[in-house]
Amino acid sequence: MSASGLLALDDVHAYYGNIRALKGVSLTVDRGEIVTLIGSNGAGKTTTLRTVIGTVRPLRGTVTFAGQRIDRVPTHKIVRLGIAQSPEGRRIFAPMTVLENLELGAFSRTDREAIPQDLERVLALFPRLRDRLGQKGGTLSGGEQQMLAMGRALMARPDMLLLDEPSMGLSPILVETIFAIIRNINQLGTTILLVEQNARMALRVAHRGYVLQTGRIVLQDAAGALLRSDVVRKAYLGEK
Amino acid sequence: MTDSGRWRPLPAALLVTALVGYPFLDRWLQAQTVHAVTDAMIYVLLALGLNIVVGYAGLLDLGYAAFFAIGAYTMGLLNSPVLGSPLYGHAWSFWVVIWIAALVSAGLGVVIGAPTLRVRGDYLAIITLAFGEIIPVAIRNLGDITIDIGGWRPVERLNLTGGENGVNPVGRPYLPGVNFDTDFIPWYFLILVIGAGSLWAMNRMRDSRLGRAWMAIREDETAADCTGVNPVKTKLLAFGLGASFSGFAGSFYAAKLQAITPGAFEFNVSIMLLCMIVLGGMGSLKGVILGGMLITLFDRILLAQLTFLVRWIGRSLGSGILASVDLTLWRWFFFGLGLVIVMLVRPEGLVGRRVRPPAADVDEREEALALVAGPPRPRAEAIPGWLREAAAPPAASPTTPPVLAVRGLTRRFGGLVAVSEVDLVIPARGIVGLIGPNGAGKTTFFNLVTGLLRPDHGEIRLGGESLVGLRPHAIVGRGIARTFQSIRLFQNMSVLDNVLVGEHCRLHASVAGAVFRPPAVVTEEGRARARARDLLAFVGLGDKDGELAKNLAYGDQRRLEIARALATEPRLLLLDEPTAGMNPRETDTLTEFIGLLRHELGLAVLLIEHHMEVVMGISDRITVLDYGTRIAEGTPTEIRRNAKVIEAYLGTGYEQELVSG
Amino acid sequence: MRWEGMGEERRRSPPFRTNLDWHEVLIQQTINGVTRGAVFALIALGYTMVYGIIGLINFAHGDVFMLGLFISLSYFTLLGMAGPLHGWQLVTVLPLVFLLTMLTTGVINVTIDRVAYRPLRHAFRLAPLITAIGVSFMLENLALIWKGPAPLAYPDVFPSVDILREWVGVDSLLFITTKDLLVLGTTIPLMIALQYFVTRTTWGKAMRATAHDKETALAMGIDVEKTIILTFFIGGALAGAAGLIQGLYYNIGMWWMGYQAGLRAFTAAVLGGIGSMPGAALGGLVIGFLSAWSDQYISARWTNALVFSILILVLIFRPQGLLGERVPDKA
Repeated sequence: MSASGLLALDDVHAYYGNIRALKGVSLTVDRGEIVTLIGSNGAGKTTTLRTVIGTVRPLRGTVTFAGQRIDRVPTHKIVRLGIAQSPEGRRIFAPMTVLENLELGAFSRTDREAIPQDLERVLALFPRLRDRLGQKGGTLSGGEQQMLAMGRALMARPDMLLLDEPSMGLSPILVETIFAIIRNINQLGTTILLVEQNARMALRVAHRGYVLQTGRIVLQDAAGALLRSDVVRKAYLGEK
Repeated sequence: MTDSGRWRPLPAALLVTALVGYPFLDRWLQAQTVHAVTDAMIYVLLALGLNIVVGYAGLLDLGYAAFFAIGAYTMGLLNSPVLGSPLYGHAWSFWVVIWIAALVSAGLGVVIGAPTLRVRGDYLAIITLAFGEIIPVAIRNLGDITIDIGGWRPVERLNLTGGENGVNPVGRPYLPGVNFDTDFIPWYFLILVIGAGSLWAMNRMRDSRLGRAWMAIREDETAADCTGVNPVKTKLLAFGLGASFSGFAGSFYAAKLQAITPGAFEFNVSIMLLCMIVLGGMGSLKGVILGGMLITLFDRILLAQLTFLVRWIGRSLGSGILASVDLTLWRWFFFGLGLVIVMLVRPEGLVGRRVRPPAADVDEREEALALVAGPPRPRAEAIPGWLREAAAPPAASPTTPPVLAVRGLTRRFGGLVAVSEVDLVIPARGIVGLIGPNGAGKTTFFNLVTGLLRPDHGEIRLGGESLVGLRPHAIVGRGIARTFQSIRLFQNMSVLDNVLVGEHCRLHASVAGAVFRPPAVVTEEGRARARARDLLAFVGLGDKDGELAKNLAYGDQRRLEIARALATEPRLLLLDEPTAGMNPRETDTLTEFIGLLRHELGLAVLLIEHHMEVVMGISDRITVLDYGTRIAEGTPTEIRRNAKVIEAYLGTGYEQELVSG
Repeated sequence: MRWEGMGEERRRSPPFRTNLDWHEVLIQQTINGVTRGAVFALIALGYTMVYGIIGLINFAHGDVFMLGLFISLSYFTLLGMAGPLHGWQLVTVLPLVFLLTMLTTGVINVTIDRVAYRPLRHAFRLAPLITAIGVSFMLENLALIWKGPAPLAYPDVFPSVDILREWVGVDSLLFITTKDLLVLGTTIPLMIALQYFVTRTTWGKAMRATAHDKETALAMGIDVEKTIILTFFIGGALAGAAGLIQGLYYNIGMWWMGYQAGLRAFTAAVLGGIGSMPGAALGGLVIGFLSAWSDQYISARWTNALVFSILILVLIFRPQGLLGERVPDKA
């Protein structure tokens, strides 16, 4: 683990349901980076994120965040340490308003007085949410829901943001927009661990990447190098 | 899965001797327990009936006492020599009425079961509870109805049920030379015979096509439906057959007690029966008998004995409270406590199978083996002969009509169009790939073709026959089988039983057939098992047929799911991301396997897949969905070059990347 | 004898007029329906909240209501109150007993969850429901052993004044007493407070979020277990208040009344749309009216059959109830 390492997984084994989803995953994310995890469905990408946020407990191995072991820490406390997640499928609170969703993102914060300011920041990042603040979350379009999910995570003012499949079900133009925002968020100082099906987009925005296959990391490199590697081109970019 | 085990003559003979000898021993010892034991056996019989509904079919029934009541009242009303209304006083023979009672209870079981088919789980439990409450209320109140019929006899008072007083007396059974009047021993033997007969029937039902269907429904109703099991019929049979046994128990109870009152059939009784099967282990005949015996023993004997004990302790300690305790008042408290403790400590019951925790080491060893040797390669010779026969004719000419023809298929969810005007044709022996980004509507398309969802419009034809509006199990019967994106096996059934459920729609045994096993059924069942073993050997699970499905490694679970689908003898196989979560070697094997199915069996395959290598390598044609619409269709080479596909699915900036990379 | 009804079917009429016209009867029974319904609604809220948050039909909830009545009786006895309260006692003793009862039943409900339900959060589907039935039996029979099988005489602590005649001075057809005011004066503020808590406060929002999606609520940093404890506490406290009100109003209590009232309140929750709090209130009122009318126009002994028929019909034909929300999860 490098000195500036913010998050480190070391030999993590985990079950998801009855399935052994992770079989010894080790990875690090340094402060300020965007690191992406790519791999096909069922490779263990989402389970990796779940072990970080604590909704899945590793059977073996350690997860360290900012120098502290978190693999046995309850999820709500992990969030307080500075990790926030935008989950797969967005999972916004459909019966609650957009504003309430954003407020819930800030649930764990103790600096209540800074929240309005952060709300402004998030609304500046996602201007489309501003007109929808009073609307029920369930009535938003897919792209807006994705923005809400990311904005909600940012309301926690996290050091590290976990993004799970932000491009899922979005049109190409929206995907471009979302990825531009991801880069923007990173430039504003948030470290990002990105799980993505759209390997090309992910590798173009990330600094480094890991390739997961049936619960193991089979390849890791700088994002650019992965983009050019044969294995990735064939298996995940659909080239021959 | 059988807990009857092998037939062992010695213990069986001992058991029979004990059961037959017991009442005489009791008389000799003057223990006078036969009466209580006979009562206990009534409740055990009831619990066994409830076990069919709760343990086998997984439908929590909280109102089972209602069927008990119906059985008892049928006996009471048809057999009682009194009650002035023209409905009664027939004093029909016990031996006739007991069958009528079983039929009436079964009928009521179906009537009460039918409306609950639309709901699941908790709601179903509450509906049965509500029925269980309504029936005693009705029995109480129907004893005194006033009907104003007008005319010269203005008011008619009707007594249909005896009301709060119940029916008294109820006639006894008559057998020449047997004393049912003052002796308990004939009653004991009567319930012993009824119980043994019921047990025999239940045992055979469980190990039949019907029993497997019940358990499949319990494990996963949707998967069962998609494997060819008709859930409506299966559940109604569970309700009906389960209730029929309470008809026997109820009529016996009425005749033995000589009187029935509505108070004997309330919620408490349903819960006591539930206690019995929960304590013993849901779904296990042995367990239910054990649970039933233990609870009755506790209730009738132990509580009283304990009361003496506690009082004695109280007296010797000089504690007035303890000395005057009456533990029999606590019986329902103890039943409640028992339910809680069993659920917390051993939810599978005393004799239920313990759930095996995931064994990481075993998994790892298997995987290491797999990495060295790889999963078994599929071999054409291993294809079971019967499957070849069932399959499509080998020679398909270009003029053969397509297996599946889908036109204009559309389905909306609220405002979202999940599948929009999609056309898709699968030629005979064709392998068609269905690709698209997550959320593009691929799985919805599968659910439409297999009948889990109804299309808003469009047509689906299998070999010319329209499938729109058919239920999933009927579509399986027509020849479409599927696997699921997240594997959906019948987790707590054996590997062999999983495949046998697949054969369900090709077997014919009826309920009577399952119980009496005429030669035709025996032959059919034997052939079904042989076929299932062949299939398991073919997919490389030949040595694991006795394992519970949930204890299989991931790759094996995938293979089992395919074997189960093949067991339905499909013409078309739908595979939803079969290689998800597989390592490259397993993926290769599976790809080869799919090719083999087409080549050797002439099976057509529709494949959702994210591994581009797999799809591109194996498919004759590929359809690409995006936002529910078909954006491209063509050969793999065409798809790879299609600009729209590249943009939507393979990612924007693809060309740039090609230039720069 | 469970079927006798819980004392509500003893119709009240002005002491000096017994020959009411049909419309007078209807109005009187409708008023009775409101007070009954208010109690059902308080109980139904606990069902709906717990179901919303952990998907469990808390079968023992009705028995917590019954315990509320029994325990409040003990508090009154403890405070030496056996007859009608006067003046200052109404504003000190009565609120104190409310508070103590609600605290006690709230804690009892939380304890039930911690001991009996929480270990089963990941068990098979029907396990918690079976456990809940077990707990219900335990509570019910504890009460039976505690107070014996005979109906319990609840002291007439709250003064009953015939409002229209004695305060307004109108010789009206209707009989409305201060007890009716008490019921409305306690249930309505409780419901408003609950609605405020759930929609306006941080923990209330956390509760709704947890009810909608537990895993995501966790990822927001919400301590889901704490939220569940809170839900059980509030539900238990409301049931306790309902028990107390029932005791003050009808002056009678039975060990088995929790089962009876629980099923009616559960019916109310399902009718209103389980998971919906306004639905529980509405459902409570509807069931209150229907049972009061049924007692009058059909027969008290058929009322249970009627209520359970409604339960069955709603579960089958409109499982989302009257106000159950169907917000699309996807855009």
